[in-house]
Amino acid sequence: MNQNSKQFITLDTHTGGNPTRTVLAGMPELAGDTIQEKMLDMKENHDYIRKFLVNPPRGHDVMSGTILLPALRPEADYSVIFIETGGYLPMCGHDTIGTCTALVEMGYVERQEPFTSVVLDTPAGVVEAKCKVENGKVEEVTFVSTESFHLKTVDVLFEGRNVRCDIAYGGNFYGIIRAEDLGLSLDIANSEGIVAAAMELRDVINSEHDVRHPEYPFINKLTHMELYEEGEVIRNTVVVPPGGIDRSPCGTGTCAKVATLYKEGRISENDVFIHESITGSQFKARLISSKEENGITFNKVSITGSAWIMARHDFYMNESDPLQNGYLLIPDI
Amino acid sequence: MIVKTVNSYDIHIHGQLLRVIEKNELRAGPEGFDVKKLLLNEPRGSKYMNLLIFHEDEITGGLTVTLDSITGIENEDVLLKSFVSSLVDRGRIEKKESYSLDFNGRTKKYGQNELIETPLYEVGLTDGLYEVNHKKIKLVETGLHMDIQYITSIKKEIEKLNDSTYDYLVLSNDGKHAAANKNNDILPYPIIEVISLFDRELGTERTTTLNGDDIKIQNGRFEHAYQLISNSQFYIDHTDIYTEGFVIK
Repeated sequence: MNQNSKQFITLDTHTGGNPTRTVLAGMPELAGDTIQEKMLDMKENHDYIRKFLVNPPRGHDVMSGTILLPALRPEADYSVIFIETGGYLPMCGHDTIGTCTALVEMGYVERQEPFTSVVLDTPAGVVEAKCKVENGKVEEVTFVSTESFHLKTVDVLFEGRNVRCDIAYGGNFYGIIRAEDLGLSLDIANSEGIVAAAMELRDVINSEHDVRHPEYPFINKLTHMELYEEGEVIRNTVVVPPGGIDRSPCGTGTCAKVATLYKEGRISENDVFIHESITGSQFKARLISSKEENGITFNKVSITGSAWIMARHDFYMNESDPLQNGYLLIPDI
Repeated sequence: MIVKTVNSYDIHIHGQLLRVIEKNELRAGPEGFDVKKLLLNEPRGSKYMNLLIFHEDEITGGLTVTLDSITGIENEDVLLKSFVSSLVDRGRIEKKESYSLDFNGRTKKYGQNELIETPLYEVGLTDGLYEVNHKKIKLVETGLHMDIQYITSIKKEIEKLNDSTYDYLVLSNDGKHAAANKNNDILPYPIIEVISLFDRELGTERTTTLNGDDIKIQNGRFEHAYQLISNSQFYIDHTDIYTEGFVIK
């Protein structure tokens, strides 16, 4: 049965439908003194563990997770590395909500009601999550995301249609487009068509327009596409690299949307904006403050969402398994 | 609050995923929640999932089995044999010379020596389509590279070639192949009917599937030892927003 193999223990949660596999045990010692260095060591020397945990057959196209490590900074409860099928992220909103929910509900941090604070040391910096707890259950998690901003609006010709796209940053660059302009409706039955059109359009925009972070010029590509439908509540779906649909409303994508709404004058400071995903889950975003620097308006946004614990797994890694690294039916970007 | 736990384990056979759950585990599910669908669909399952639920008769020891999947069941006998093999390995049933299952009202019998390998099927040819184990296969030699990096082109080719005449479409190039079902779903693992075709009709001794698995074809038999993925416990919280999960292909 090969149970006498390398074991990894995980707690799985879903945040509005998007999975987070929090790895509790099984990791080797990672080299480095900071979480950034440890992430780099994992990427360079232990990437097979990421592939093992998130790729099919153990995971699926948008499986993601956090590697939980003892805190490397005194103010933190834990240090974390964010992993997904596409690689590594400096920060991830839905994973933060999922991991904090698991840590509080399972008692890995001291649970206090009505609020428990969880401090994570992430490669993007220290993130404090405020967990609203009632009868031991985490009702929702709120955290302040990285500063978001609207970069520009571009028009491109795509499959005979003129398509308007807002390019905004919320931790990644998002191309925000009305789904109707692509002849698409946001229905999970259309997911393959949505992914194909979004990725193709993203490549067209990247070939025709310069997309560059004003402070970090190495962030120089449109990577995520965010399709939306107007309504009483704005529905969206974010297509994440290398080519999957975010099941949740996407934390960083929601921050980018808030930056766009603020630029259009449709949202003010302290307003709460509700964003709904293609699977019906919702995040609440609140615009905390805005400031202008060199012609760009930077927005501080808090994201609130809920997660549910759904499984505990003992995974077995066996060298005799030819598919130890899994496989992914999506090309590399 | 968590109001239901379900114990299970996952195995894979050449990358094909099988989740095994004893029927008793599904009892007393919370009102309004479809526990079976929750274990098949996302976020607990996925489009890759094959879900096997079994019941052992307390008196006769007979096994009754159901199989569910989102995209359809391929390699039915391979999955069932692997399930039996895993029960024996886990000490859940005693090792015997042969095993009998009630599957969808049919009786399936497997010898102990058949649990990890299966003889390949005979191959026929009618109107340009191969016929293997009652499945019609369209085989196309292509210039496309059969690697994940070219998956977009492979998908487009599959859609272009779909004329609704086959159960499986197989694109083959340079010792590698990609298979799809009639709904254009890519099947990245080996399909026994396709392997039979490579063996009997083309004399192929090895082929690589889209998931990168290298399949050796020896003595007219297909080897399919399973790999244990995980022992798992699933939870259902009564406040969860998904009562039966969802499917995204």
